[in-house]
Amino acid sequence: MMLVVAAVLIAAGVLVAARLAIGPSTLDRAVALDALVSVIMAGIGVYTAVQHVPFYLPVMLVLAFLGFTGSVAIARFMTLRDEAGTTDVDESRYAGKSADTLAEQNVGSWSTRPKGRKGSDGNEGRNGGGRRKNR
Amino acid sequence: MNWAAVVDWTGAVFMLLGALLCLVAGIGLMRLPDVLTRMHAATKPQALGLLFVLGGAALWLRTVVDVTTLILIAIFQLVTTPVAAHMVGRAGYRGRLDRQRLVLDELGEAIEEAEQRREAQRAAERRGEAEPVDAGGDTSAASGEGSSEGGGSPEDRGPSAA
Repeated sequence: MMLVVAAVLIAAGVLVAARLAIGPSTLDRAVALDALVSVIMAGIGVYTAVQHVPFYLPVMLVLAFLGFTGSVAIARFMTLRDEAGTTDVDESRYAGKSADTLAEQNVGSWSTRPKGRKGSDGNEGRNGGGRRKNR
Repeated sequence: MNWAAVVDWTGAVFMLLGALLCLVAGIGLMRLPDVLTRMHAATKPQALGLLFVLGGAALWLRTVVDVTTLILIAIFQLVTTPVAAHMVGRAGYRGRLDRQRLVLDELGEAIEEAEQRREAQRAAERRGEAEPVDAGGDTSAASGEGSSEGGGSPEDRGPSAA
């Protein structure tokens, strides 16, 4: 019975690892990594039950506690990289302005904003709202 | 057939069910076409499969310390898994996703409405040349996000926070 369980778990791990290897996008690999972590946790649980050795239970505890951080980091990274792409930046608004103005606006929207520039303030407000939308 | 044998067989059946859910996840990950559908397959062993395996292990171990640890593991897994699924799902929606294959796309409708409202606001500002007063927005980046949007910005940010 337990040999059957072990064989099923190994087959599941092989399938998930195959998706981890061939996954076309990074998010596929993140999903497969989560599934692989849970398969490994199931394997450790079965091993613990069969052998009656509770030494690996803290390992399962740590995996349950920290296993999600990897995929969260990957997902966050992917979102930020998409955001830095071309879909979000409204370039037509900046047409005809010099590079110094653009640099000032970009700096000003994130750190100290230049005082007394009402027009650029309006632009930055809209820009900030639009950037926040896709986060 | 005594009591311990019954409990052991119940635990074995639980562990077999958990392993079968893991296998289902593997097959689903290999066969399903999309990030979101693969997430649907991959969450099977994360919640129910692991709970089955932990229940089986608890039925086999039968000591207070081990069962308490297993309950802690189950609680942590159930708390942390939706966080990862939320982040991955949002990134998958924002990324390359074939929108035509979605059966229901409520978030897409909400984003579209917000875009239209923002465009209307922008057009109104451009027409009237009514320069929005940037009330008190001087230093922080967070103060500049909504002050020029007028009243529309909270509704704009609302659905896109999902």
